Amino acid sequence: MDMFGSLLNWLRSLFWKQEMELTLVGLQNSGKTTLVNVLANGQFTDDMIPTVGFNMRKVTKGNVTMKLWDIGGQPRFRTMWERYCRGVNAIVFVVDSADHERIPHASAELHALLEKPQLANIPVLVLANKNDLPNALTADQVIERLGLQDISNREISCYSISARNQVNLDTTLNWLTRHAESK
Amino acid sequence: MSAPMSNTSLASIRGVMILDSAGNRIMARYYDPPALPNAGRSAANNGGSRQQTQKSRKDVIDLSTLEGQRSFEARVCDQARRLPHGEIMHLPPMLVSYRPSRDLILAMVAPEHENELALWTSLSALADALNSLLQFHLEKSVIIDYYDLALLAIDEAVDGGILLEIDGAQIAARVAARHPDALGGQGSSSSSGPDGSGGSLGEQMVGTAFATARLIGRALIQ
Amino acid sequence: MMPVGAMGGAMRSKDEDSHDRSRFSQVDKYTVLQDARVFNNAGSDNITKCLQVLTRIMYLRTCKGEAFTEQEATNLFFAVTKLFQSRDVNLRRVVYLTIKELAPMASDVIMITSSLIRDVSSASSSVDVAAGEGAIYRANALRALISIVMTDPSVLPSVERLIRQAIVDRSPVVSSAALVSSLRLLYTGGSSASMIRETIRRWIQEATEAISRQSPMIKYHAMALICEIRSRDRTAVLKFLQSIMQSVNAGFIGNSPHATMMLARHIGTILREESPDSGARKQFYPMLESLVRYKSDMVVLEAARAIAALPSVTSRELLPAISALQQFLSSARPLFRFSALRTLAQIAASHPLSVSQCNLDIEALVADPNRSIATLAVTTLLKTGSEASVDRLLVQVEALMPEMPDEFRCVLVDAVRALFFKFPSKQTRLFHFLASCLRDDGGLAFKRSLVDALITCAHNVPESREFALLHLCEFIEDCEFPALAIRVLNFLGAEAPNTSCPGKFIRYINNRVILESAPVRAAACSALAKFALSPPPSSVPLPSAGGDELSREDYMLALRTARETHASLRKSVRVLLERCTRDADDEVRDRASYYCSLIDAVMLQSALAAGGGAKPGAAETGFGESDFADAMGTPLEEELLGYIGAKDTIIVPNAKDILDASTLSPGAASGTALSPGGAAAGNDFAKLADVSSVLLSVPQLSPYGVPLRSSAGPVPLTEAGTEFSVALVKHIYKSVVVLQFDIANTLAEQQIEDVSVELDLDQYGGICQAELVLPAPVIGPNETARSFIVLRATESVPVTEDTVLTPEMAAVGAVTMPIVASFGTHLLFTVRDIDPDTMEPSPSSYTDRYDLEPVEITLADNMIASGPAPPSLAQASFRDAWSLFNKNTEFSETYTLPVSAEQAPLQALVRSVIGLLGMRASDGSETVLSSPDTGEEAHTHTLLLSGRLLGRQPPCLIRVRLVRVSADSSPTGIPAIVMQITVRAPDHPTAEFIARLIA
Repeated sequence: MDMFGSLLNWLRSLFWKQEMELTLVGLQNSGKTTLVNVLANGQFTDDMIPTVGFNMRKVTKGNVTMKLWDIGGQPRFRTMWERYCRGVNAIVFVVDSADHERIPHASAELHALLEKPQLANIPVLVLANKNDLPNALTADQVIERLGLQDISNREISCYSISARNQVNLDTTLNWLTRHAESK
Repeated sequence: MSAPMSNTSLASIRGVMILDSAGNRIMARYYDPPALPNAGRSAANNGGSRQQTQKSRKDVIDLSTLEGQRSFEARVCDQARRLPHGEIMHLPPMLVSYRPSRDLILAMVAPEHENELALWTSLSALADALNSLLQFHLEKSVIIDYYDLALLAIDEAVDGGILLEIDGAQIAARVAARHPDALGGQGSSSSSGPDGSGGSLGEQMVGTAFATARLIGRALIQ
Repeated sequence: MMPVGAMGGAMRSKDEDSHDRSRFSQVDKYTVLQDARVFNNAGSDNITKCLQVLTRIMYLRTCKGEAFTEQEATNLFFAVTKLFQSRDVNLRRVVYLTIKELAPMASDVIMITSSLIRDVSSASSSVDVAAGEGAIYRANALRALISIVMTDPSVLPSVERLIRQAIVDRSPVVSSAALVSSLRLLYTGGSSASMIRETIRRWIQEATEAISRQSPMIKYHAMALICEIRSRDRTAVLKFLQSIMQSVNAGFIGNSPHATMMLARHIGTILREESPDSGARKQFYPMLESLVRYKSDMVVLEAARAIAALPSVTSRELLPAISALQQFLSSARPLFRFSALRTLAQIAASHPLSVSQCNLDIEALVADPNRSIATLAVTTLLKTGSEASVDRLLVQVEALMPEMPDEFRCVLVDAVRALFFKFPSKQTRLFHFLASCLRDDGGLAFKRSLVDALITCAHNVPESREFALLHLCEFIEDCEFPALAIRVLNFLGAEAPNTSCPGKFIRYINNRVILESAPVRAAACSALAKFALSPPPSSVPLPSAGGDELSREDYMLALRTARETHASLRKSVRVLLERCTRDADDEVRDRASYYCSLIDAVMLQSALAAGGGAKPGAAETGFGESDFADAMGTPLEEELLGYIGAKDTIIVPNAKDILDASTLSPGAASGTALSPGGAAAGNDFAKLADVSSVLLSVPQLSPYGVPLRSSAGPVPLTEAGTEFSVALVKHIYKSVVVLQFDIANTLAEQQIEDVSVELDLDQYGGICQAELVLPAPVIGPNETARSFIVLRATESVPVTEDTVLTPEMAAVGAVTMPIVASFGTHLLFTVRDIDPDTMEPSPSSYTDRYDLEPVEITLADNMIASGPAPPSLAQASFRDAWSLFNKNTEFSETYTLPVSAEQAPLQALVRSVIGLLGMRASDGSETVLSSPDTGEEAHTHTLLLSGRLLGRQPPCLIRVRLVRVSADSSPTGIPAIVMQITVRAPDHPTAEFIARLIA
C-alpha cells in the first residue's frame, strides 16, 4: 500500500492520473497470473491454478493505473485473445524461457495473433519469464527463436525476467508506464 | 383437479411478475421446472370426471414461450381485477398468488401442487422488500425508474425458482446494501460520485479511505 | 450504508418522472447492442451510462421478452466481461444479473470463470467485510458463477472446492447461496446430469454441517440438498427424516416453517410408496398428526395434504387433517378458505363421508364472493351431499352458473355428470339441468363439456337418448361453433335413425343444410344419409307389460307400417340430398352425390328383394353357380392361402362383406339379389377362428358379423406385474375395427367397475370415431373381463374431377380408408374397496384412470400379402400386373432418409418396409444384391410389393426405388437413402393413402 502513501496522494491520483490498459497473453503455465500478482502485491505466490477465462486486475504505480487483462493460455481461450487485445495500449506476451520444447508453439501463437488487422500498430512487450531456471534462454535467444526480428510494423521489445526473483520487473514497469496515456 | 404429484424439489416457483393494471408486463421472470431424474409415471386419481374437459387453446398454459407468457399474464390480470383481494387464483396447472398495489399487480406462480400459504408468504416477502426499498411507492412509474432495484429484489428473493430468502427485511437489506445511493439524496438510482471506482470489490481498498472518498465525492457534486 | 429511511423528497420530481418513464421507450435490441460498446472504456466517468445500458438489456429481456441470437448474446456477454475493469459495486451487481441472463444464450461463457471465482473468494480473505456487505457480493458472484457451470458443466471440477467451502462459510448469505446453487445444479437435466450428481454426492458432509446452523433459510436449503443427494437411497432418507423429526420436537428446525413444511412433504412422499401397514407408516403417521397441529399454518396445510394423500387412508387417519382444514374454512382470508377447500374437495372424491362433517361450513361458502371458492364448495358438496340434497344444490348451481367464467362452469358440468351415474333416480333432473345450461351463453369449452356430458349420458342411459337428441337438435339450431355442430350432427346420424320416430330429427338436420357453413353442411349431408341407409326395422317395440296382448296380425301390421314409414323417410331424404348435389361447395356436392347413388343402390336392392319374394335362402333367384364362384371362390381361396402363409393372423373371409360389394355394384345389381347363401361359405371358415366366437357372444357386436381378420393372441398393453393387466386383440372389418381388451384385475382387495378403455382419438384429427364403447361392468379381485371399442373410419369423400372413379370404388365406396394409427390409451374405471374380512364391497367408490401402452393399428393389419395379379390373371407377373393398371390412379412420393453411416444397409430398410406394409415381395426383390467380390451391398435397389386391402378385390402394387447417396453428393452433406415410392391401387386416394403412410 505504500504507493498510496496517504489519503491526499490517493485523492490527487483521482484527479490527475494516467491510465493504461494492457493485455497479457501467452501459452499456459508461462506465468502470466503469477506475474500480475507480483506486480500487484509485490509478493511471489506459487499459484498453480490455471486461469479459466481471464482475470482483470488494476495496479497503480505512482500516477499510472494499469488495467491488466490476464487471459488464460489454454488452447480453448486462445481464440479469445484478440477480443481482449483490441484497443489496448500494449500487448504483453509472456513466454516460459525454460520450456524449450514449446517455444516454437509460442512463436506460432504470437505471430498468428499479431497478424490480426484489428491489432495493427499496438506495441508488444515479450517477457521471457522464469530466467531463474537453470536452462533458461537469454533474451537474445528468445528474440531469435520467436522470430521477433521479423516483426517490423510495430514497436516490439523483449526482456528476460523472473517473476519469482523479481528480476527486471522495474525495467518492465518502466517500459509499460512509457506507453501510458494521459487522462 | 388432478391429485397432488408429490414434488419435493425446492424449485417451486415458476415465475414472478409485475403487471400493470392493463395486464401489460412491467417485469417478469420465469423459471424452468427442475429436471428431476425420478419422475415416474403415476396412475393419477382423477376427481371423478369421465372425460377430461377439452381445453380451448387459449386456456393451455405454456410458460416456455413469450406468447404463452403474455396470454397467461393477461389471464392473471383479468382475474386479479375482478377479485383484487382474492390473494390466490388457480389456473390449472398453475397456482398464482397475487397482490395489487396502486396501479400494478405483483404475482408469483407455482405449480398447483404447491402450498398456497407458503407461496403467499414468499410473495409477501418480495412485496415487503419492494415496499421498503421504494418507500411504499410500489407503483408502475417508480418500478420503471428503479428498474435495476426491482430486478435485484427479485434476484435476492428467488434464484432459479428456488426461494433464496423469505424475510422481506432481509431481502431489502441485501438490495440496499449494495445500493447505498438507491433512494438517498438527490442522485439518480445509479448515481455514483466522481469516485466511481469506490467499491471494495476485488481490490484491497482501505475501508476508511473508501468511505471518506465517497463523502468527499458527494460533497464535490453538490 | 445509508438506510432507506423516510424522506419525502426522495422520489423524483414529476418532470423527471415523466422523463424517466420514457427512458425505456426508445429501447430496442439494436441500439442496445450498439450502446454496449461503451463497456470497453468503463471508467469512473461513465458508470452511470454503463448501468443504464445494462438495465436496458435486462429490460429488453424481462419486460419485452426480447430474444437474442447466440451471436448477439455472445457479443453482449463479452462486452459485459469488460466491465470487470470497474470496481463500482452498483455496477458489478447488475453485471452479475446480466451474466446470469445471458449465460444460457451465449457461447464461450467459460471466459468469465476465473474472474467470478476471484470475486467469490477474495472477500473471504478480507477482515472487515465479515458481517457486512462483502458476504453479499460473494454470494452474488457465486450465484452468477453457477449460471456458468450450468451452461458449461466442464467447469464444475474447477469450482468444486470453492462451493464446498462456501456451503460451510460462516456467513449465512454465502452458505444459503452455495446450497441453493448446489440444488440448481442437481436440478439441471441434460447429458451432464449424472456427472454433476456424482460430484455433488461428495458434498454431503458440508451439507450436514450446514444444517446445524441457526439460520432458518440454511436449514431449509440444506435439508433439501441432503434429501436430494440421498434421493436414491430410501433407507438413508428415512433415517435422515427420522433424525430431523426428533430434532423438531427439540425445536431444532422450529424457527423455519418452510423447512418444517418440507419435512411434512418429504414424509408424505415416502409414505405414498409404503403400504398402509408398513413400519414406516406406523412410525411417521404420528409425526404428520402432530404437524397438523403445528403452530405454523403452512405446515398444518402441508401435513393435512400429506395425510389426505396416504395410500388407502382410513377415516380415522383423515380425521385430524379434516378437522384442521375445517378451521381454515371460516377464516376471513380467501387464501385459507381456498387452500383448505381445495384439499377437502380432493379428499371428497374418495372419502365423501369423511368430508361431510364440514358440509355446514362448506355450504356457507357456496355464496363466497370468490368464484373459485364458490365453485369448489359446490363441487365438493355435489360429492359429499346426499341424494336428497341434489335438488337444492342444483338450484344453487343454476344461480351461480350465469356469472361464472367458463373454466369453473366446466368443472361444475363435470361434477354434475358424475352425479348422473351416482344417483340414477335424479337423472331426469340432472338432464334438465344440463339441457338448460345448453341454452346459456358460453364459450366453446363450456359448450363442449355440456355436449360431451349429454352424449355420454345418452350413451349410458338409453332411455334418455331421445331427450338428449332433441335438446342437441335445439342446440345446433343456434350454435356458433361449427366443430360442435359437426360433432352433434355425427351423433345424430349415428343415434337418431334408431329412435322410434326418426322423422322428427330430419327437419333440424336439414335446417343445417340450408343455413350453415360448408363443413357443417357436409356433416349434415352425411347425417341425413344415415337415416336413409339405416336398415328397415326388423321388429317393433312391444307394448308395455299389462297392456293388451298384441296379436300376431296386429304385430305384423305394426311392423309393416314401420317399414313403410322407413321407406318414405328414405325417399324424403333422397329428395333432400338431391338438393344438396347443387350446393355451392364441392365437398357437400360430392358427399350428396355419393350418398344419392348409394341410396339408389340400396333402394334398388330392396325393390328387387321385395320383387323376388321374401323367401330366405333362395338360390334360384338368378344367382348362378358360376357367378357365385366368380364372386366368392377365387378370393376365398386366396384368403385361405394368405392364412396359411401368415401364421400370426387369422383371416376370416367375410362372405357378407363380399356380397355387399356385389349387390351394390351396378353390374351385379341388374341380375342378382341378396342371397344369404354365401353366409354358409363364411361359416365354414369361421370355425378357423375361435377368436371371433368371442365377438359373436357379445350381442351388441353381432350386427358387425365376422371380422375379416383378427390379430393373433392378445398383445399386452401393460407391463408385467402391474395392478391391471390389459391385452389387446384387433378385429378388422371393412370399415370398422373392433378393439377387444382383455382386462385382468390383479388387486386382491379392490373391485373395479364400469371399466372401459379410452383412446385419444383427437390426435388424428378425426380419422375415425368410437361408434360403440362396451365397458366391462364389474371386474372383481383377480378376475378377468372384456371391454370393447368399435372404431369406425370417418368417411371422407375426396372425390374430385381428376379422381378416376373405378367401378370398384363407385361400388363399395372405397374412399373409406382403413384406420391406420397409433392412439394414446388409458383405462377408465371406478374403484371400490373390498373388505378383506367380509368380502363385501365398500359403499364408497371413486373413479380412476391408468395409462396404457398406445394401441397401434398398422397397414399390415389391414393388408393381405397376395400376388400381384387380380384373380382373373392368376399367373401374371408383377411387370404385367403393373402395366395393366390405370396410370391415373398412381401416386408417387419421394422421401430422403438421412442415415448415420455410409454403410447403412438397404437390406434392413427393405425388411422394415415389408414389415410396415405387410405385403408380399415379388421377383425376389426382398433381397438386396451385393457384390460377389467385396460383399458390398448394391447402391440401388428396387422392391416390388403386392397385397390387397382386406375386403377389397384388386391388389395394390408398390414399387419402391432406393438409392444410396453419399455425403458428398447429398445436398445436406449427410449420407442418405432416397426412397421413391410409387403406388398403383384401384383408386387414386388409396394409392395416395398408402404412399403417405410410409412417411
